[in-house]
Amino acid sequence: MAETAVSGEVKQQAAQPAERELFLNMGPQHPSTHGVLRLKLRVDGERVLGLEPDIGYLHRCFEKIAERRQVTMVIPYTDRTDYLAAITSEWAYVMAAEKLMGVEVPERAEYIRVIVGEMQRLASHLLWFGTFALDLGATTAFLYAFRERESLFDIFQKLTGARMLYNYLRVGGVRNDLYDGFADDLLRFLDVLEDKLREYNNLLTGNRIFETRTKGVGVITAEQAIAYGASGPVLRGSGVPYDLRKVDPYSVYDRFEFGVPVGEHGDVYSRYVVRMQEFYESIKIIRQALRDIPDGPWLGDVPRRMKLNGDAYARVESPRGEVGVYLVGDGTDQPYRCHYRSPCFVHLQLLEPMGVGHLIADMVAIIGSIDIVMGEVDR
Amino acid sequence: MFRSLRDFFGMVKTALIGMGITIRNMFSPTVTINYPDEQLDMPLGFRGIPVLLSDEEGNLKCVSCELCAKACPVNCIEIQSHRDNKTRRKVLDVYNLDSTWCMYCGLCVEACPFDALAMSDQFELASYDLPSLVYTRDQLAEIGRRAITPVVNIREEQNFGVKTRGGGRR
Amino acid sequence: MSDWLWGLFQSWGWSQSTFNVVMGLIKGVLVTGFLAVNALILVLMERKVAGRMQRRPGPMRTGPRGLLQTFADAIKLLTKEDVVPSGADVAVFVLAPMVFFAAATALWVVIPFGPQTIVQDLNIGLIYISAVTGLSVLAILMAGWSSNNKWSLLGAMRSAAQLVSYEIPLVLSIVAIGMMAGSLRLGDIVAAQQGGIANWFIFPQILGFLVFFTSGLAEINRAPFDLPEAESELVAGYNTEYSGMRWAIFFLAEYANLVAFSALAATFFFGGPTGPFFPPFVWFLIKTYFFIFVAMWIRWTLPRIRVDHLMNLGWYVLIPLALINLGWTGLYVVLRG
Repeated sequence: MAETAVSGEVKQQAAQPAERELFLNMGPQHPSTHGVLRLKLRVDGERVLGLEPDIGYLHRCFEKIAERRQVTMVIPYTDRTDYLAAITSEWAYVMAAEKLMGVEVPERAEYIRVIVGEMQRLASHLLWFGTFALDLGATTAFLYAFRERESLFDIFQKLTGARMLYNYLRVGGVRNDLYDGFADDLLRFLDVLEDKLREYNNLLTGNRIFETRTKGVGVITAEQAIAYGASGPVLRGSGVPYDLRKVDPYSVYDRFEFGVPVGEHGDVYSRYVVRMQEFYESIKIIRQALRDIPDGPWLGDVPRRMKLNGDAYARVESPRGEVGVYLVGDGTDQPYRCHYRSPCFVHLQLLEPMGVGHLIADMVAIIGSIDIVMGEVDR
Repeated sequence: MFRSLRDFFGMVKTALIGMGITIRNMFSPTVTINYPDEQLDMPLGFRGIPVLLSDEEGNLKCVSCELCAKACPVNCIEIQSHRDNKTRRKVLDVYNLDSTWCMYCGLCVEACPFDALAMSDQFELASYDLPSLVYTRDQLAEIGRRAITPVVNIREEQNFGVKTRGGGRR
Repeated sequence: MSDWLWGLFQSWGWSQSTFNVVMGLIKGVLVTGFLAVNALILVLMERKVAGRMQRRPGPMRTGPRGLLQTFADAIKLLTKEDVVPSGADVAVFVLAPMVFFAAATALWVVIPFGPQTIVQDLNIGLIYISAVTGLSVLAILMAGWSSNNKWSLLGAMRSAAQLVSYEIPLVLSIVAIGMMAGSLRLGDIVAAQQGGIANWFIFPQILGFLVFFTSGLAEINRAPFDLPEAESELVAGYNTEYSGMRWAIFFLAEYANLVAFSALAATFFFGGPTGPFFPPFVWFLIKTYFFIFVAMWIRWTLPRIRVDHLMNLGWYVLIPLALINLGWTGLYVVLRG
């Protein structure tokens, strides 16, 4: 019988048994690791001494599959990497392909992309809010957040035909135009959402129990965040005002007025506040875009036979951070290499500096504050 | 950190505010649609299973160009056809769509130049029998014939789907 | 009614001791039956209340409007495979739910269903309550340890710390009630609050009520103090390895605790089973279920408190408040004359 391989960390642990140390597997199956993330915790009672993430449980060979599909056929797969922010994943990919082929996107399509992208940010943050509250014990907030998400899904459904994995963006524009009544539906939803945001703030933000669970927990300084390559709300929560939509504006984001919320202390609470503020900023952007959207074609001139030559990197500001796609073409209509830069993959490194010294209960709050989507991490 | 009375009374006060919200929601109507007793009204263009469309005489519009099979990212469409000697047209023999592979992405519908394919609103596809999840030409044509929305020029009307049933709550 | 039965038994020539044994058995059966019926109702009530607060209807498919849900749950639990984890300490594993249930049921000996309807109106009623609530700690530790599972152990340790810490403010607030009534019997406490709302102990004891309610919630492991069974953190804490009927016993015992605690809150502060128009038992039910509803309301609104904050709350805040309450009660009783 073959000798089963003993994994490295068990050997290590057996070699130096610390006195009060307990090795705990916050295993792939756990109600609050947001997908199949395995954390190898070393704890002393309740205090976390060391932490190592173990990933790969959701690997679906996205990058390999992309090498064997035509340009447009890869787009449904990009949806499924970060399935909670499908539009931004598609956007990064489509922008990279447009850079490679030199395709121009008409203005109306750009505006539509912005509107749909910000709607996606709202949906993703709503889910983050719900699951974050659920992890901390406030179950009801989860149901409320999902009620709002359903309204967004209805709008997406009428527009693209699907609730969550849209396959909507195309190289050179979007798949179809906005339907009649889109603006009315969306504006009505935004009014409802602003009302509900007040309710969420009353339910959770001001709650003393919530504050004590999240303030001072999982602190990351600005220098650490920059050094580890953090982006998105994780970086902004530590006080660094870096938002790709302002720093490196893509599409038509330079035409909109919106703020970039920045946190003060770099703890879980700051990241929470940053994301709650981002709701309002997204609503602002959507309103401006709906007001200013021009008429015109929604798909630009795309060559019949797409040929990818050279390489390009395109990045967008997804609800989780900087999503990038590095596309390499070899003259055919199939990408030679498509690499997906996932923000959550990078943020997993931050779990150790954030978590060590805290209690296990804090680990749950910290993971929630990074807003991990394992589909993106493992691709 | 809950060491002071202020923390405790702060907790009580914010708890009461939160409780006010939940009790108010308790007496509001539920937002649940009691599926399957109540059905949902799917919007036009909803991406359910792709179906084969027929013209007014009941013949399939498909000319077996196989563009849909080539456009499918997961290769779930299998097509076999033969050329009819009298009319010199291709006749579709076999059109197997494996719904366990299908991503419901709609690329096949976009690829079809003859408007012979549309996304239906059928999503209740569960079955106890795995082979029955491979939909044949006749099954897809049958669902397509149940379309209650008019079959239009899909590219112009931006309409990528057909509905096969009406009613339902929104 | 017991006098009538005693008359009947005397006519049959049975002795006093036989009578006592038979009465004890009857009372036991009645109380256990009451607990079982309550558990039935509470399982459904919790899910319906939770659903309604979350803008959804709760269970709707089993029976008309979901009323038979508990039966469906019971049947499901009875037909589950009895899993004992390998490496578990089997005897302790099997005994733990029973000890927990015994502790929960033992509390019901002194709870008044009516002004004189108590299973056994012990003249050390209040002390008995404090003693019996401590038994659950033993059961939880047994469950956590015997499961051979690190998560269960963590849950059990947390729970032990929590239960032991919150005993003290609980008992201190109960002591104040004893002072107000001048006796340790629960029958006397109910009697002392007769004669209208103005006599209810809640008014001089508002601080005591706050302390009692908070520590009570912590004692019965309910949110926001439900760390030992925090689903999102410890999978299910000390319950993790229990399935089927064993888990159901834990569950039932928790609900029995909840009803007991609500009944105590009603008895100590809100007059117990007394009131106009309706018979006393109905008032008992009304007041008890009101507090059960409040406990559920709190559970579905608030996030969980972290374990070290829990300790701080118990030791740094609730004990001083309970002591202040005691001082105030003493002053009140002296001034009342």
